[in-house]
Amino acid sequence: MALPASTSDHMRQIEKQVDVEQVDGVETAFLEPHIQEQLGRVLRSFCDDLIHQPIPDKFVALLAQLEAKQRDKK
Amino acid sequence: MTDTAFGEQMVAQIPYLRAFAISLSGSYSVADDLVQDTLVKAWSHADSFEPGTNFRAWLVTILRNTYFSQYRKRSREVQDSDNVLAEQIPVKGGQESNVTMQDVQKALDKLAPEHREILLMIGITELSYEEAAQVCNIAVGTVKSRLNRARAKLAEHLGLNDVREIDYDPTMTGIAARKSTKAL
Repeated sequence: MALPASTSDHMRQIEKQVDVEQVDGVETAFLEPHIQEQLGRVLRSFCDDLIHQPIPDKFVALLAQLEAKQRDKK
Repeated sequence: MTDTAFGEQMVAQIPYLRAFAISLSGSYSVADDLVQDTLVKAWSHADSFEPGTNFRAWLVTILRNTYFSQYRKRSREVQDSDNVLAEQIPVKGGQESNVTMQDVQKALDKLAPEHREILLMIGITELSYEEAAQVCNIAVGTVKSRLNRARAKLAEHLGLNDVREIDYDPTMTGIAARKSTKAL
């Protein structure tokens, strides 16, 4: 399984900020600023809505089950 | 990490994994099976997680691999009958436009899969470009260009190019609004 390599959080934050600026520069070439802004709002709202959907109980139950199994093994 | 701590961390990631899975597959039933598989696999491969790295990115890697190896075909088959977000929930209101959750999902479905997954990895699971690059095993520059393409295509599919001004109504989603100030 490919695993993400370790990066210090601080460095990543700095890199992220730079990247955002760079990408925004590139994006402007594709989309006009007002469209970019609209799209950003639509996407943010879409993503937030999905993230905040209620989680089926079965997942929490599954994890409890896995934990219990692990405990029995030990 | 103790088993309990590991389990608690996984629980905290479920909303992100599930949101990613729903939008990636376009199906609630596929998404739930996919998340379940991911949790079981993550649990049994817990020792392959490197402490200090992003736990969510690790889970997303497992979910993505599982999706492409086992679920991609199935999600296409069920999509019609198990249409995600069938309810017409508006993501934003306004006089000229009434974009619904379903509209966004449909527009996402039209994207090339490699573009869609990047957009969702950044937007839903909030991975950094570097993390998304590692998950997909591609260069960071490729992540950026796919993201740009995805955004441009999505705007086109949503018909945003035709709309001049849209008022965002935060009450439509029930989620804290991030009302950005209008550019002057």
